[in-house]
Amino acid sequence: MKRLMVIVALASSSTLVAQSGDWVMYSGSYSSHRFSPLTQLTPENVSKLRPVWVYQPPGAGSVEATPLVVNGVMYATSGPTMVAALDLRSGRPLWQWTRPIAASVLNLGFPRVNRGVAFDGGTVFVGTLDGYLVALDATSGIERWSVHVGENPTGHAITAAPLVVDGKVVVGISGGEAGIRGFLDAYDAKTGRQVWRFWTVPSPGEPASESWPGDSWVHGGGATWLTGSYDPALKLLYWGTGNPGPDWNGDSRKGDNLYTCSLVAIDVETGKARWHFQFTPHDVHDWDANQIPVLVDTQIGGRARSLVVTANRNGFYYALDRRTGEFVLGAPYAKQTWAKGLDDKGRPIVIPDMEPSEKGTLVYPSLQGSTNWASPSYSPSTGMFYVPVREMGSVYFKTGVEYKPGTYYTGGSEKRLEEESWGAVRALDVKTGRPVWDFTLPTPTWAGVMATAGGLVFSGSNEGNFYALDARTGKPLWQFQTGGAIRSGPMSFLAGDKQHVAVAGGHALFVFALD
Amino acid sequence: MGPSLQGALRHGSTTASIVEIITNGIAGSDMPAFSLPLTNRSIRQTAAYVQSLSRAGSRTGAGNSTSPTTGNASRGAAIYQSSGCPSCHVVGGQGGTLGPELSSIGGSRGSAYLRDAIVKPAAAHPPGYLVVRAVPSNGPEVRGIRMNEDVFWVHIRDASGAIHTLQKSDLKSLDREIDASLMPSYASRLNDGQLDDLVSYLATLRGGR
Repeated sequence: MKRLMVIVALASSSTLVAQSGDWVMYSGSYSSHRFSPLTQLTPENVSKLRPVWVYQPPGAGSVEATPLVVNGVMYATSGPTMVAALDLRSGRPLWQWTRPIAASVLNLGFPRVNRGVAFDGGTVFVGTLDGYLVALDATSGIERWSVHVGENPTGHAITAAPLVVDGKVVVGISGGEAGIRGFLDAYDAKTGRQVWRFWTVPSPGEPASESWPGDSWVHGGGATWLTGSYDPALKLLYWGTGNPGPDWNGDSRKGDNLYTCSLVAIDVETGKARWHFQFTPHDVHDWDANQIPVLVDTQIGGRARSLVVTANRNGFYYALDRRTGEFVLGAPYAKQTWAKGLDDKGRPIVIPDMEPSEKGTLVYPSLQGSTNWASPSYSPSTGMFYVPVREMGSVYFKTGVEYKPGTYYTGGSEKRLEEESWGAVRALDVKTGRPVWDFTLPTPTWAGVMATAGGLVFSGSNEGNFYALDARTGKPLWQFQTGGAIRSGPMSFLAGDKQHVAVAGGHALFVFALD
Repeated sequence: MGPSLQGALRHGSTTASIVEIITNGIAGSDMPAFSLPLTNRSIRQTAAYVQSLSRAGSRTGAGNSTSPTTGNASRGAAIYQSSGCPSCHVVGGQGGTLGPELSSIGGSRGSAYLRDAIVKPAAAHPPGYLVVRAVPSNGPEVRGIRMNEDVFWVHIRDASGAIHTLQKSDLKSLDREIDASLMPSYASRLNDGQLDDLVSYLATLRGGR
């Protein structure tokens, strides 16, 4: 108990943790804990949680966004590219903005969705499926500026929520299945002028370019399709990168293929990488490393550590020193059959003959990984890291592949072992990566997780359940059937001094509070 | 309502992409799908006609052939600034947000309408800019643009831009002012020549940046 109190004190003194009742960015704070500091909802009263209102956006787009709440207004998005400002008390839209998206707009490798906005100084920033970053006036939804980030006809698109840091809007790009060359961009929040671009795949002569033979780097992938994290003290952005291209046939790209399937620490002023850590060198299973990196301050072996931790799609949990990128520890957190373990630098000790093949190769985890884009959560109160887990294997096939602009550049496919698959919310000890408890789910989950200071963990299921668990034990305490698959991360906010919880399910957004 | 088809097309220029748009519509816009009312043959013919309009518009200069105006657009741009229009209207991302955005108004409204809207704003207020007056049981009256209204709630944006969330059960009255606008008439502030110039300028606003 004494140890626990120390952890809480550390967390509350950190500038990384959101302080007010708002939810101001995709993962709740720059440290991406997806942790609500609100305490009104507890294991004792959560059974009285009731829906307050439901918002159904116009059109048929599904809702995968985490909404923001800033100064009494909620900003939500729905697919393909719609933004709504919602009044917190009535649930009614103050304005709705839609970008027309023709059916010819490409979405190669992901659904026609949008996962949220960023907010700064009275402006809402949203990426669009056709590859633009748009700034909207927060009071009216009127467009202030828009800038072309990537060419959609070659498979570039934006589905991730941007992140605003020091007057810059940082936005990633999707298109890793279309043979794009990945990048991360920063734009001036006031004008839309580009401040820098970081290429996730180096061109010849640049550092790490030796990890790409010939001209394989040109369509090398490394998409940045989820939101990253930020340490204001170090002025470093932490952003995950996706698979190399082509996905499942690595013959043309012998080598490690840096900086794909990596975490890159980028100086926010210059856009230059300070360090990188590659989880899956020369990936051939599409195990993107885009999972939300989570910044954690804790003690390991009696030593205070500033960590960035992640549960990777490849089945391993990693803790890295976030100043240097040094590997601190790692351990498998889900079933995996491709590596014997990690060496002392964190590099996987790969088991031979696990690559995709013409006749098919059975490997755990599946193409969608042991976890995917659904957000994890870290609770400084329990010291646990809560991961949405997918327990599934696949038979991986390899085929020939040729680059054609605006088409799939993948070189294979998979046959999923659906019937043997299952899912879980898995609580890991953040100091070791060892599982503490499991809340099992009938199918591999796509729902994000949110822990709260009140001692709860919220998440969802493909079957439409939105539920609350005891953060210490994983015991279920409350559930609500939303009627649609939950493929989004929950969030929490104060409205009228009352704690609310929101989650998207199916084609709607649900908001809950106590009676 | 839709963008001009003369000159560069916004959503696709190839036959295949125009056929696709006519067939399936454009999600998130008012362009509906015409796959039911039109046959495949007539969809292809329509696409070819749209392409011919686009080509013709490109030859005559970006589709400015509609809405002939007699004023001077560059003088009109100066009048737009000096008359305070940007305090309430956005053009190309700049300006206040109390009134409707005008960035592409020249592509959707003709000169006569624009002139009317400046002289008699109340007669021409666009959808979404209805003025309402709410009198709460306790507290001061709120008058402004109705942002949204359902059975129990109304949201009003007043002339200062502040948004008021009002529960109808807390109101003594809520009145719609069908013929009102928050925009003042400029009939007495601009002479005929200045109005022509301003309208000419507005007619050039077609969404380009």
